[in-house]
Amino acid sequence: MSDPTRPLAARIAGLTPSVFGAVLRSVWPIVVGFIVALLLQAALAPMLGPFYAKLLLDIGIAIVLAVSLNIVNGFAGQFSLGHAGFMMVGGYAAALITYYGSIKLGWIEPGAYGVEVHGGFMGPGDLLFLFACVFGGVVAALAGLVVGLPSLRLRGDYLAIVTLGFGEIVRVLVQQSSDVLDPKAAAEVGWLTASKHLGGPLGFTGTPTYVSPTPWLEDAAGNQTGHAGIFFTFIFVTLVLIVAFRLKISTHGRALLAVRENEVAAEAVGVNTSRAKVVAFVTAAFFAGIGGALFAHEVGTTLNPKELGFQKSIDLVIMVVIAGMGSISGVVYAATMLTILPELLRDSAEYRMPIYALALIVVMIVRPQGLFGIQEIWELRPRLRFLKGAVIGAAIGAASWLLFGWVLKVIHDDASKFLLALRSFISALSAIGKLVLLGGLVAVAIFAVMMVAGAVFEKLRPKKLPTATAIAREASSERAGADLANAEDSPKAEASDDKDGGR
Amino acid sequence: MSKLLQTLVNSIALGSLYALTALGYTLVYGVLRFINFAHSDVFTVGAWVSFSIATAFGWASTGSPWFAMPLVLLLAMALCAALGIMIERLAYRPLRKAPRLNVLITAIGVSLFLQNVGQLQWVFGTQPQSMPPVLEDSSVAELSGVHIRMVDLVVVSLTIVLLGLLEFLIYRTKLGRAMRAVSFDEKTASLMGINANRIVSITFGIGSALAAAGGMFFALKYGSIKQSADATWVLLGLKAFVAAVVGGIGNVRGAVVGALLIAFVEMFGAAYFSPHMRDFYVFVILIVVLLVRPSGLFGSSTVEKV
Amino acid sequence: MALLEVNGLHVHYGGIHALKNLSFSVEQGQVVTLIGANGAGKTTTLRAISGLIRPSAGTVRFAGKPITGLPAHEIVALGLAHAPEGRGIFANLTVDENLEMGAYLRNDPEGIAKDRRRALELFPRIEERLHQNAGTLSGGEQQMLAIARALVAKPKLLLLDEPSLGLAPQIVQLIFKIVKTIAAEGTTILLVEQNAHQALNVAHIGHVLEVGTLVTSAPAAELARDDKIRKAYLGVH
Repeated sequence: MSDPTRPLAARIAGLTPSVFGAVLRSVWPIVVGFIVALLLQAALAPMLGPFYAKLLLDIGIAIVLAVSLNIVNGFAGQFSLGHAGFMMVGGYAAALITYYGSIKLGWIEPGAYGVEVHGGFMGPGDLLFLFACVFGGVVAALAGLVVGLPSLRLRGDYLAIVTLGFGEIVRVLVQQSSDVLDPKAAAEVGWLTASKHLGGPLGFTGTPTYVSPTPWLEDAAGNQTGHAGIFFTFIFVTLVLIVAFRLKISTHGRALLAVRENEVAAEAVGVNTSRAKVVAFVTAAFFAGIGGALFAHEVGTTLNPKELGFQKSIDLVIMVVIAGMGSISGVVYAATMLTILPELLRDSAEYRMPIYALALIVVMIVRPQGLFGIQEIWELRPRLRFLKGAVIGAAIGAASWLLFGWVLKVIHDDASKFLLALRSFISALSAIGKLVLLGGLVAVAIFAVMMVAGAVFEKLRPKKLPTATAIAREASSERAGADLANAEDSPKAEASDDKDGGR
Repeated sequence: MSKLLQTLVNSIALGSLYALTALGYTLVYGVLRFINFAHSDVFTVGAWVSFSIATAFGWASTGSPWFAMPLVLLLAMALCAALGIMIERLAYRPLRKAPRLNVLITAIGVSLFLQNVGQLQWVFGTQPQSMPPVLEDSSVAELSGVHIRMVDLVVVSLTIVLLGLLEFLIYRTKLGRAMRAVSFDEKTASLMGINANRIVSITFGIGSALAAAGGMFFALKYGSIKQSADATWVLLGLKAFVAAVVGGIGNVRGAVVGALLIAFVEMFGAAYFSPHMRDFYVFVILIVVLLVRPSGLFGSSTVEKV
Repeated sequence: MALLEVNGLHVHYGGIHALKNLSFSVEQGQVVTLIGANGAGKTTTLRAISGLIRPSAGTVRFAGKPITGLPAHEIVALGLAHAPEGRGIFANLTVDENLEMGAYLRNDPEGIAKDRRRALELFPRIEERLHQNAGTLSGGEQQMLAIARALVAKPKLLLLDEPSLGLAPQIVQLIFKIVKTIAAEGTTILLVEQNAHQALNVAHIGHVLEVGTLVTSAPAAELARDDKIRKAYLGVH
């Protein structure tokens, strides 16, 4: 039975219950993730400078949030419009721990605000932060349970409304909280009282930031430098990716996909759909809470209820939907793209949302399964087509940017109202061209990175488990069969059976 | 006592506004079985369009003639009806056979598009504007301390009239029968010679026109209109939508009852408990109703079709 | 010239070839029946004719006009009525309103009233229930309503899909008796049935479908005597 050529982890995994085995099989990805996170924190971030370091952090947080939303939206097909609500729950729970906790531990002196309390790399402050993140995740997961339970009764649109209502309720409740207590007052109250002082509509000001936990980078004064919690963020990115991948290729993930494709059929083949849905909700909420916790302690952001409203949920939904519901790497790609683009395009920011919205509509009509569908980027067969599309897009963008920029120079300023209007219209076109150009270039770059990362991940993936492509193929062939049965035997079945080219 | 009565009056006025918008949600759901998320943005566009029309006529500074209100109302309703029909034609019709989730997401896309295009400098802009008073806003009656405003009176009576017309249309005319037939089974309806696409277009047109009326009166009632992506609008649209769902989406009378219920809860909650928790009451009502009666108060419970 | 000509019709559902090169015609005044086992493609044929599904190849001509690929509501406007399988009653409308839907495209109030009276004469049970919601009718009554509704359209050609489906034997008898009356009054009918015995009894011409292919066509009386047909579809051994 024991084969000495097999790696130790695999040998043990073969003998132990599956959960333990899964953890062991995840050792390598964790190690890789750890190293990458450390490199990003200690090497890349200082190289890039604070602006890009913050961008990196934003990307990491966006990935945690979007990938977790993908679990519930993409895998289980339960349309949730309240992800920002979970984020808010987690963020506030974590901020409660770090801010009031630091005060109670005597790390924040009365009168001091927004201080760094990490106490060096993996110092006590950092540990408190880690604990706060997990705590935020757990509280959000409990909220996920509360929202997941109604999802057992509601489907589709109705569920979307309930999750949306949940997000709004959380927002209103947080807005009702009192001002944040200053350290002096905070030291004297208990946790229960403290939890009523979350800053109200202004937001939770004064949360500690975890700026510089890098052991070997010291500034002149001997303090460790670096940038805001990139290491921790990417550790959580690694974690959410592992969970998502494991889920996708596991029996449980297949159950989720089955629920998404056809709930009644899933039930009929013995999937416990209730359990599947609740687990999806709770898992997604857990990571959304962690994402919120990371967001709460980011430098330069204030945790406030407006920031984490409906709009934020929609942003996340866009990432998942455009990428392809169910494709993890696709969602990572989209999260990265949609975080970088607005930063690069600050001068034409007003066109960002109209273009996102159009992109969303066009993707839904032209490619309803999203850019990547259920597949991972490295599984895509016509890979080059995507690259070609990005390159062509960039070229068209560049052409229109230059062309309209030139036209703009030719049409001189004129008092006439018509010309003024024309100018502003053309400058809009030129701005869109630039946006498309940058988008295309970034797309090419990230695509390349993802291909490499994907290849590495593929190496680390346990063999003999079905690939997502195989799952998708299976699911779609089941669907085709069901369509045929409907078409011939039950004309009363929903019009959706009409894949046969009827109008 | 007068506080109670005043709150009652305010609730009915607000409920009528919600009802105008909720009807659009319910009509579209009735025919196409999907929630038109972009409907609340048509409402917003309605407010802005009526502002633009009134301003274009120069009624912003000067007083307005008696026909100002009906004229602006009709123009705004017509324009929004056209907008609604266009949205359906361009965004939703290609997805008629697609899974509902895709349609829902597209609707969110349309909603975002309308909000953000509206904010562009050459459309409506980002500055809040004040609505020209095309309807004299005075207190028309005062009964033991209870004020009844002109706007409220017009809104309530207009809602009643429009609701009556809508009921007549749906239950007493050939077009209404066709709408109900399409709503039940599009294929069989087409076997009766009904052009389902046309019925859907008409439904969108009617719903959008009602939303425009709602938008215009909202602007008149509150005097100022905010930029089109402002959270206030989104929330207003959401509440109208909650009203439709609570009443049982797809049911015209249900939408009105739902709108009144939401308005009552909101106004009484604000008057007697905490004015800051208005949105909270609304969404709690939503969740409670959906959990107890998932298809709304007046909705018929439908079995999920496989 | 035949009222309905179907020529080389092919229908695909995804990868499944449901109808293969189907050709037949229906003459004015005839009752033609398509019989065959479950899944033979009978319903598909009717749906392809009335435009509910788009054939992948072949042509359909109705009253001399090519109608292939037209939307259903335009085909119906040419004078074709289709009482679909499973009856297709609007359960949320009253019985009366259902009948009115049948006359949706007609603009001659007197003509409508006349045909409505005739339809109600044929189905007195419907008349008793005019103001009930159609969803409250029994299966047999719904089938009657579906046929009555189709008659109110005063069609040149009536497509009937499995009128006997799921009904008690007596009701089936009754319905076929009425179908025979309608036919005798001059309505051209294309009837799809699994109940071959009844269908061949009312029809002039019968076609037998097997897995999407037309295998036999003959006068109905001849088919009813044919040994193979009797064995396969009439339950005679």
